[in-house]
Amino acid sequence: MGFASGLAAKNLIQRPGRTIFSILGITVGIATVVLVFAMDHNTMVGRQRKAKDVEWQADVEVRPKSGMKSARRELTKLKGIERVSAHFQQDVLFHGSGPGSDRSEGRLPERETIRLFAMEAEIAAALGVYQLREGRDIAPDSSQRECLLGAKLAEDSGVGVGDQIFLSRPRRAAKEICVEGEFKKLGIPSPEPIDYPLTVVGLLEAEKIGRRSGGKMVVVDYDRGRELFEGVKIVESYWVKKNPDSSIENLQANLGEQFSFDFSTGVVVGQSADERAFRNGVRLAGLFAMVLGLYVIFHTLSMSLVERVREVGMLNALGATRKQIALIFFIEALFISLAGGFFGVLFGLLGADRLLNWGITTIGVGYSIPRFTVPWATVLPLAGIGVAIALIGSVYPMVRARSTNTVAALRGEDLGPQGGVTRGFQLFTAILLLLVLPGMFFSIAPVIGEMSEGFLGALLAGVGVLVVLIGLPLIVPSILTAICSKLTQPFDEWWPLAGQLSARSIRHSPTRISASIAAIALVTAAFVSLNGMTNSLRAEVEEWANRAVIGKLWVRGLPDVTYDELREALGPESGVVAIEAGDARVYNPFLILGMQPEELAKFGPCAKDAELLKALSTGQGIILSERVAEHYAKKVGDAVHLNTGGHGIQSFAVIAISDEYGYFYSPDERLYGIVASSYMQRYFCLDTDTTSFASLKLEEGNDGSVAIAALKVAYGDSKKLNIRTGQGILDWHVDDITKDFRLFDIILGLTALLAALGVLNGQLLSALERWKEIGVLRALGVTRGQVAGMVMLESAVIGLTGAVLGLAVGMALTPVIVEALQAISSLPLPHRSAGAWLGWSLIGAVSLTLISGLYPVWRMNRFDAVRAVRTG
Amino acid sequence: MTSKQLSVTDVYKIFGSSGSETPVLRGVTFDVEVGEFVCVMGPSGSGKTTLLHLISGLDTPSSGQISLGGRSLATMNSNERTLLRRAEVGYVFQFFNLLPNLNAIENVGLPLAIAGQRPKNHRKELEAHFERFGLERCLESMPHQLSGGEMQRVSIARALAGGQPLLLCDEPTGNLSQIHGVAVMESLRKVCDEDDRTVFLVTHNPRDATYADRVLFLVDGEIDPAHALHGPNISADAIHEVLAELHI
Ligand SMILES: Nc1ncnc2c1ncn2[C@@H]1O[C@H](COP(=O)(O)OP(=O)(O)O)[C@@H](O)[C@H]1O
Ligand SMILES: [Mg+2]
Repeated sequence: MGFASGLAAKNLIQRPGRTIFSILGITVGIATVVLVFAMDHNTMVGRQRKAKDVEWQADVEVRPKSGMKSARRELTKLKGIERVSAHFQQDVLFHGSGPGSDRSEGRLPERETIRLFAMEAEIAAALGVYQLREGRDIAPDSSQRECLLGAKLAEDSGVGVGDQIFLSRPRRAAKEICVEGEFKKLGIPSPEPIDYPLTVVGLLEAEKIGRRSGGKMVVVDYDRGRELFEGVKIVESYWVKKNPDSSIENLQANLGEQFSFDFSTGVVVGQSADERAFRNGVRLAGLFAMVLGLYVIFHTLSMSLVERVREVGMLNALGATRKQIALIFFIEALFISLAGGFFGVLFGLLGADRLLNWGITTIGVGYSIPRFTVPWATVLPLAGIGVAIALIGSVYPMVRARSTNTVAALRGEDLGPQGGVTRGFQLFTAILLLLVLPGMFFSIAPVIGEMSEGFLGALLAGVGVLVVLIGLPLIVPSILTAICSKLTQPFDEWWPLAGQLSARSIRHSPTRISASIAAIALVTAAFVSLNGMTNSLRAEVEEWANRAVIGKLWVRGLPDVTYDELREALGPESGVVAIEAGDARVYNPFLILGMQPEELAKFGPCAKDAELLKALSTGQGIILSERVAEHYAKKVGDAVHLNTGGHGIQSFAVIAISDEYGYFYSPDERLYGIVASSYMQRYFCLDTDTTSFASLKLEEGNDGSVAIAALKVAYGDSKKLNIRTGQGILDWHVDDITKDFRLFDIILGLTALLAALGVLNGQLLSALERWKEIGVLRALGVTRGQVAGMVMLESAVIGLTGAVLGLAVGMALTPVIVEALQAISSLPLPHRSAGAWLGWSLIGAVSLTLISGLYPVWRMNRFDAVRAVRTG
Repeated sequence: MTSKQLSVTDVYKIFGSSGSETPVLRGVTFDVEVGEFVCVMGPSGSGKTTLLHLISGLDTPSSGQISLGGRSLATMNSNERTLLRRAEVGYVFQFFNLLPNLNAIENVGLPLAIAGQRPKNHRKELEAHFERFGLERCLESMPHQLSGGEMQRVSIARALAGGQPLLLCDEPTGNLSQIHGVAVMESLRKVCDEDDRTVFLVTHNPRDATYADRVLFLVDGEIDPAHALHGPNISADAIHEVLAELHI
């Protein structure tokens, strides 16, 4: 042991370059994976902060049709339902100060109407329908009266965690409902509100239900809510979880006519499909980095064996057994992999913390994650796998080296990269990396959400590409090296020696060259296909924008003007064709906007089709946005059920699917439907004659400048006035995509670094292997410049071949990825290529390999010519 | 029998597969007594290095018997041969084969380390080898800081440090100048006389052969006992005479 470890230590110290770059390779590989998982973990913890680890995901939100007595019982009787949880919403009066002092002065405190959400506390946290900004969830079955407050409400009232608030039934709570456009009193109004005290235990982010009522809302336990509204008729909704063995379609059939339902699981469970896709994508990128990192290390280690074959022979001649020699290699590898593992975990965690601090998360940019915790249970096994695989990679060549002939080694014969050892090693590597590693990876960190077919397809395609690229050096090293040495030929003209030498060095080590090429190609392919994918996402936004926002203006903060007043303010020259108002809105079950049919008649589908217009105005018709239609699988002719207070569940017929009407940027919502304003009036008693937030459809070719000027003149005094153009909104969305994918850019940057390290290690080891040859060349009068030229030419050729191969693979892969993304996110993604990125990837790959040649050049020029010549 | 350090009987070594077989050794037979200094001479490519590989158990003969220190190599597996080599053989290579990452004294201490001892505890003995070969200055030098003669003497010291009775030397002066070569050969002679070690040397240099107690000639893969030279008969002239007779 002492002998082996002493020799191993000497080897590590005497070859600092090899040691450091090997450690660096493992470090970067492991750091990337750790970074991804630490970020994902903290992103999720930061978003959920679950009080308990109850994972309860609702599949569907169900509302009983009017007249049903005991909806819960009916539901639990149905087949295929595993669990039901009730919740309801009500308006409620709120005040934040204690009742005592105010009462003593004989006055009631100022009360404000807010929205109350009552849900079963033990599952509320797990549902993910809200997100805590501060504090904790409501304790289940606590005798305490606890509540969570919306951000805006907390801010306005100055109430914080630990404070007490008071809720009371509105004087006419639920006793006044909207019937035929007028509020009708039912029963006797309650005499005076009774204050119901609650302790605030948490504040909510302005997201999901926390966004409702502009953040003026409160969440309470279901039982507390019932207490507060005792004796009041309440329309309840139920979150329903289906049996694992029953399908959504069955459930749908069972719910049948008695219930209206909403399968927007995204709204219910807080894990929307695109988020899931994004997180899975980030994880796959992490896996990719790890595979690449270990691939690079495998090559480094296998080459270092070749380099040292003579040493093995000599030690054996001196009586060192195979076991002792293997131990030397093992200890070296152990040190390198442990050091790599340690620094990988360290830098991975530091990096994750940094990125999270900058607001970059695994679900996009701009979320704040307050606290950093380390998910050791995932990080350590992942780092362990990395270290173990690096170790196996180093021990394997030793096992194979048993068959190495000591005599041949002593004779200084080349064990040869073409030798059986290397070939077998390649095969071993490919199997290990492609089957075992992803297998272990996914068992430690399972894919989020169900394996949809599209995702599985993409995964298989990805693994296929990895197989092909990693298999390349195994299958066709000679083809690649033939291409490469051909590529060097033209350079003979300018640098005869460098050209000849690099061609020879390339032909001499086909495995190293093709491994380097494969690494570069992998990263290039990843860059190209990622950028192809983001381009497709951008194109989707652009296509949507062309339908929905280009040629429109938005004006917000108007002083509740009528359409006529607004028209007048705009003047006759403004080029405004139609006005859409964004004020009349309900969420039921998705965003519903009330619009004036006369305005919609001036452009878009209603302008072309009088029948449509009629169905909208008088036929209880609804126009759905394309995304909402896709999301809820609604076709023209299907029914949408809206839950109204006074008229029960009302059925609207889908009459058109179009994005041309109804988009408003606040909240940024592409899931919506449009009904005639008269129905808004009738069923929800919403004022539809005036507006403070309007969208203005402009004439073809009008840029809106006249209208903007007119609006500024008319309403410029108002500080709240906010005008945005369609182009501005498009840019904002496109910018969002770019920002969201920054994390991928970072991960890919790390893999590029890894690939460069692979090339560097390969060249460095081949330089060390050939030190004598190079020393002799130097002694014969070869200049440093010529040595540099030889390495740089080789680098350039590797970079170029790798990049071209990567471009080809990446371009072939892009449509597959886009299809998969489409399958997961149900976005209608147009196919796009990476565009300018194709060129940049090429330039990037070549520059990267050139840079990675610098260290080997420097090292080679430090070889001692005299020593090389003297030792024969 | 026990006085035999090495015994080689009818050893054949054929390289290559059937069809393109190259017989390098064809029935080589000889013995080496304990404490003897034996030199095998032969032109380049005659199979001298191959013979050493067989004797040390690094390689196995195509047929024939070899015993080292009275133990036959024939039935041993590779690991057993390695352990026997560790116990019996000190190796001196033509190209020195010092480990570039270790300094001189660490290189010399290597056989001790391989045998599981701590070279640090044997510092005195190791330094003694250096003094003996006039290498006091070189204790801590790295191999590339040494001259060829120094490197070869370090590698002889290394072969001695393990204490093995048999020293196998493969053209130890092949890469050295005249002066350095003489110094190395005198060192080897000294080792044989003073330490009672057996020295088995292969070379194509007649001058080196003059230091031996017995000189054998390897020609066409065979050693003809009729041409062997013994003790007092050995001189540069006599060697040249035999070489001429054998058309070498
Ligand atoms: N592995 C091998 N395969 C085929 N021929 C070999 C092999 N090793 C050595 N030889 C041949 O054996 C002959 C003797 O080699 P060697 O023992 O090195 O000679 P010497 O040391 O006397 O110069 C040479 O002709 C050489 O080409
Ligand atoms: Mg030889």
